Amino acid sequence: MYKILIYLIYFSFYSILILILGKGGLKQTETIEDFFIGGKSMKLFPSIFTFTATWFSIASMVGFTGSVYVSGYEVVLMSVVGWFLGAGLLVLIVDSIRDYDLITIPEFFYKRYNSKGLQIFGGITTVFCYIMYMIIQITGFGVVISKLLEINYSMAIFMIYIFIIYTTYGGFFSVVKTDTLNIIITIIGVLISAFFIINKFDSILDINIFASEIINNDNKAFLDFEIPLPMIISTSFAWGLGLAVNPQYLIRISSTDSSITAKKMISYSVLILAVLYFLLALVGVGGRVLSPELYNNIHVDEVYSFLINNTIYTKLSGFILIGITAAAISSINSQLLIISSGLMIDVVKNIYTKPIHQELVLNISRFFIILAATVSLLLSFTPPSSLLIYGSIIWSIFSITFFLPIYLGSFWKKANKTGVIASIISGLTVMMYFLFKSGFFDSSYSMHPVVPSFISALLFFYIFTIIGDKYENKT
Amino acid sequence: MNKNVLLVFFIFIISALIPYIIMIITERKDNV
Repeated sequence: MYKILIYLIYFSFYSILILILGKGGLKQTETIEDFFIGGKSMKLFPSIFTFTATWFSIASMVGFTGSVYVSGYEVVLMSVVGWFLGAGLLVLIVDSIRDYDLITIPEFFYKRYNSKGLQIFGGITTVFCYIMYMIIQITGFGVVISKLLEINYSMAIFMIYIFIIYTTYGGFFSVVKTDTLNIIITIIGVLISAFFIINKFDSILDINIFASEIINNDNKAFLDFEIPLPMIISTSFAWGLGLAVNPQYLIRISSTDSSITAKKMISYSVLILAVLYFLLALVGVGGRVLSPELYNNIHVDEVYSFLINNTIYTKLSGFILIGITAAAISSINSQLLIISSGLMIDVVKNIYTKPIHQELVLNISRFFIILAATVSLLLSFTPPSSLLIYGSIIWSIFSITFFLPIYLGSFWKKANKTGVIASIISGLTVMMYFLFKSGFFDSSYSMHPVVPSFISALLFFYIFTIIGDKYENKT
Repeated sequence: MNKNVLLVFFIFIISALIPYIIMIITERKDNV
């Protein structure tokens, strides 16, 4: 009871801070460009804060740490390394994205390929994937908070529902302001958890020496790689491609005040994130040494909350709790904004072509925020089995549908609409075939399904671009 | 210590530096 009281004090403190910061955004928002991308005026520091906060979600803090606890450092290769390589691709595409002057990423399909149909498809894909991805975040939050505050899971997810609507309702400015607070709290939370884990050992090296001695149930050493190398590389590849075309990151390139700000935002954020993941990997491995009994007894996504609530519990654990909350909210609010922009700009404005008054556009966008949050909340009552695996499949859909059209469209002059349509259809068909064959969200693939899907999409893109080119030249 | 730990650490550090390296290379190219 005493623990819960402490947690509630922290939680109330956090809620008040969010309430104060969240309301500022409404005043600054005048145009649709302000609402979705902050009027393309973001300076370096706010950009780094919001980029890092959006990236570092509950799947990172809770999902990643729990996965390292279970599988060791190979998780780093399977996820984080892929994400960082994907961020490298983001830097490469900065100039092109800024040249097209985008408010949403599917707008690229219209501005580059002159196809409203593709833009609508991109908008619908974005809405679908982000609703699915928000479920991961909401579920993760629900699992952790219901355990720590000893409240009902439904009540926990309803709490985050209120937070995300409040922080997103004011648009991009409001998201950036709350993201700044959220990432600072998240960083403090990660630092505290890493400090108390490392503090239980003589040195960081000691953590790894003890961990090397742990033997899993199947008689293999904990730190040995169990997952086949093709699976490690292909999963990393799936994450990397997904990150490189993920609208929540790409759109932040549009929101900065210049190309160099965007490039610095990405590369400096990755350095901050590297420190956070390094510390969380130590928490995962150190936690495994300190509390090995969890291995067979609790779910991967419950490991982190168990560690902070028992293994390394102090009065400061409340900071870690609000760190998790902050990580979840700062990612969900950006995703919610992307869903709203996809529905409003890519779908509604293309279907209903008559001019709509700016104020009405803003109000409909706000309505879409509430609608998308409500749908995600309702779908979160049946949680997925693992945050990280589920996430990688959803990101694969982005890899297959967005990567080739955006990157080849930026660097290959010949790329055309025929190639894009053929590549999307073939990529998704191969992906569906593999998923139905082996079951959805199954972790037992020998290779991630994104690899054959991507190869097929690439081949079709090339062949049909050439065919489309000849056809267009004739007509 | 397990050699996998060092291998992962090495790959991790390199990958974290990649966006920064690409930024430097592309900026240099722009300025030429």
